[in-house]
Amino acid sequence: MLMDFKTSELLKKYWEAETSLQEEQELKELLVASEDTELEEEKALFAHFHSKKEVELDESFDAGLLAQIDQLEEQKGAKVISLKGYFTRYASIAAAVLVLCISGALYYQQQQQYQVEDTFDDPELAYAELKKQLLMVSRYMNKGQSTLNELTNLSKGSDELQDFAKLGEASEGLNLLREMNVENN
Amino acid sequence: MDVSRFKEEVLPLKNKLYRFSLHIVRDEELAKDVVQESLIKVWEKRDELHLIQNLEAWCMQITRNKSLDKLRSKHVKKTDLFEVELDTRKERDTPLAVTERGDLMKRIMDLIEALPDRQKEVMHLRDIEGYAYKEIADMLGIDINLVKTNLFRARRKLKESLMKVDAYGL
Repeated sequence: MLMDFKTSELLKKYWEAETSLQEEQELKELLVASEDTELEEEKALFAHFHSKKEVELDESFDAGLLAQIDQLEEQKGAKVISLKGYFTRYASIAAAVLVLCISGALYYQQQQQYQVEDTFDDPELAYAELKKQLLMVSRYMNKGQSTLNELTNLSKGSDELQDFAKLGEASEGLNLLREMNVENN
Repeated sequence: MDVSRFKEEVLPLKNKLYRFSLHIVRDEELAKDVVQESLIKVWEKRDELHLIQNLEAWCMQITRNKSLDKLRSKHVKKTDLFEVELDTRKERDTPLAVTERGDLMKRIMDLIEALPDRQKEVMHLRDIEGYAYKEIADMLGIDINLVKTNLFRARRKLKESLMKVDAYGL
């Protein structure tokens, strides 16, 4: 009777979710031992929990997992080496490409500096164009020359200005005449 | 962590992880894959293990996440193939289940199955695996009070259905 009382007390607490882990363990043991037909549902429930806990992985699991871990570690090691190999291989290729690019760029730049582009394919056309350009230049030069010629007239002007200087001399003569006139008065 | 420490400390958790995963994915092969992947993840993170306070709870967390991922992708695949019903039926009728299942047992399984996911999860960790509330809270990443509430609700629901007792009368 005592056991039944304890069982029912524990069960009550269990359903209220107030049991500790220890009490739940105790209840489980009590129910397994109990032959009370009224507790059939509870016994079945705990039996269900118990059976669920017996589910386990098969023996081969450990070996499979450890083999996979080994493989993983090997791959890791192999990967590091191959990565190094890849790096050096690609680094040398990259360096070569870089050198080619730089020298190519420099060469191109150099060529650009001295390169004069042909504008005409036909020499006769080129000659005609050149002639036209030269004629145009000479025409402008002649025009300029003619304006310069006009400047020479300026020097002629200065000659004429010298004639004006003679006016000064004349005014001196006039002064003499005036004095004479004064004396006459 | 080296292989021998891994064997001593992590590998013994495999069955707990397996049961937890099986409880979520409901497929033995899938659960096995989950445990394998989870333990490999633990192995890959072995250098960070000193930062983890509760190794067991952490392993359970990883297993739970992986299980849920698998379940999602499995569900997607199955929905594509329109095989959901057929497959779940097949999974439930494993030979072990058939031999163990009496009428009452079947009723219990169905009742637990019908519980909300969170309640089912808490009940599994408490009643099958025997974890403390704090450990369960760590594993599920929820508050300890939420663990207690969920367990209380799960048990109450189970009692109501199992005993056919009107809980409102209590």
